[in-house]
Amino acid sequence: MQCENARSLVPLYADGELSEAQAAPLRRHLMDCQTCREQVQSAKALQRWFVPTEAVPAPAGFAERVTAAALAPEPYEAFPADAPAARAPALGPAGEVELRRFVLRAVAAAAAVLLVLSAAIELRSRPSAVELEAVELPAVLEDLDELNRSAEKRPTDETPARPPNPLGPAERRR
Amino acid sequence: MSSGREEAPDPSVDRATVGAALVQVGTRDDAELVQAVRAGDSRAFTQLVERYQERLFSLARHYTRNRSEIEDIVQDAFVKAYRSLGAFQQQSSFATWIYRIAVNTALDALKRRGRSPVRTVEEPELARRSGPAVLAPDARMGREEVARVTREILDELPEIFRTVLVMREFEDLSYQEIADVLCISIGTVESRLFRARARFRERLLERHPEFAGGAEV
Repeated sequence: MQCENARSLVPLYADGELSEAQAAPLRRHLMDCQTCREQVQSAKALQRWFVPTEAVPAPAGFAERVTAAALAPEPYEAFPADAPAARAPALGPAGEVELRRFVLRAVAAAAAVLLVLSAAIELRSRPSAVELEAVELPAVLEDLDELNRSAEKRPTDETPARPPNPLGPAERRR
Repeated sequence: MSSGREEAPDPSVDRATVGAALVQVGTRDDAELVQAVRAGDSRAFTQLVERYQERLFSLARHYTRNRSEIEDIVQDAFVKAYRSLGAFQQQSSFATWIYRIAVNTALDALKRRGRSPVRTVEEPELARRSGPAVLAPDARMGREEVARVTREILDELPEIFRTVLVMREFEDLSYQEIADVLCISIGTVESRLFRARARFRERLLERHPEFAGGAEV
């Protein structure tokens, strides 16, 4: 047996996984090969780090408790976090009322938010005081006032006289 | 892994004779107990639990130090087994099957605690070499100290490595049994053990370089 073949068998040999037919030629090789023998020694040295620890005895009555848990009609959950859906109780009448109340509150809150938002939008769309500031009217309006005044002086039957503009040209301009 | 048939204290009596004698006095093997549980015999299930509880406690403690969590893992594994007995085809032994359930339950428990089990670790460098040689622990370390160092290193290893090392070194499972429990091939068990040991050696020598055994193995 060559060293390369022997080394591939060393871990299995140390673990007792080789049949006698496989182990015998390896053992013969080990008799003659110091390097491969060291490989086996190293594998066995590592195994000695795994010292058997004291047994963990099951507590008294454990088997009976487990049997009772297994036979329990309710879904068993040693680790409830594993199955949150299974943990959630089905909605009973009280649950339905609670759910309805929650939905109504949510709808009311949404409506209030909408109202506030629409008021804010409306306020923003109104012109500001600056935009509403009076500006100087063009001279053509003064001419119109003059025409109005002359029409008041010459009333006709066909066209009733327009009522006088309560605001004179000076007030209009302001 | 034991077949589950209890042995007589007298080693001179052959196992078949012991098995027959025990059946006569009411001790049933795993397959018979499984059949009885399926037929509604809850006492048979209690017997199965009693038969395997020590093994599962021993296994679970390699995944958590918390006593109540160990109990939860073992109980959960048995309850899952009971609820799945209808689907158990007995293609593997009950021992292998319950062991598989327990390992998965323990890994799930680790996941819940925020430690995500690493299921695939590919390190080409490690796959080619087994790492530096280490010496066996000696009188410099007491037995308890050796156990503590080993436990701490195992805690740091990815779960796939820890699990094969625990099964092989502590539980004394054969490669075939490990393969059956983990549903992997014997070749995968071999390579996983190889890499797990290499990683263990590296971690050990980082902590205790005085145990370096010379050339790389």
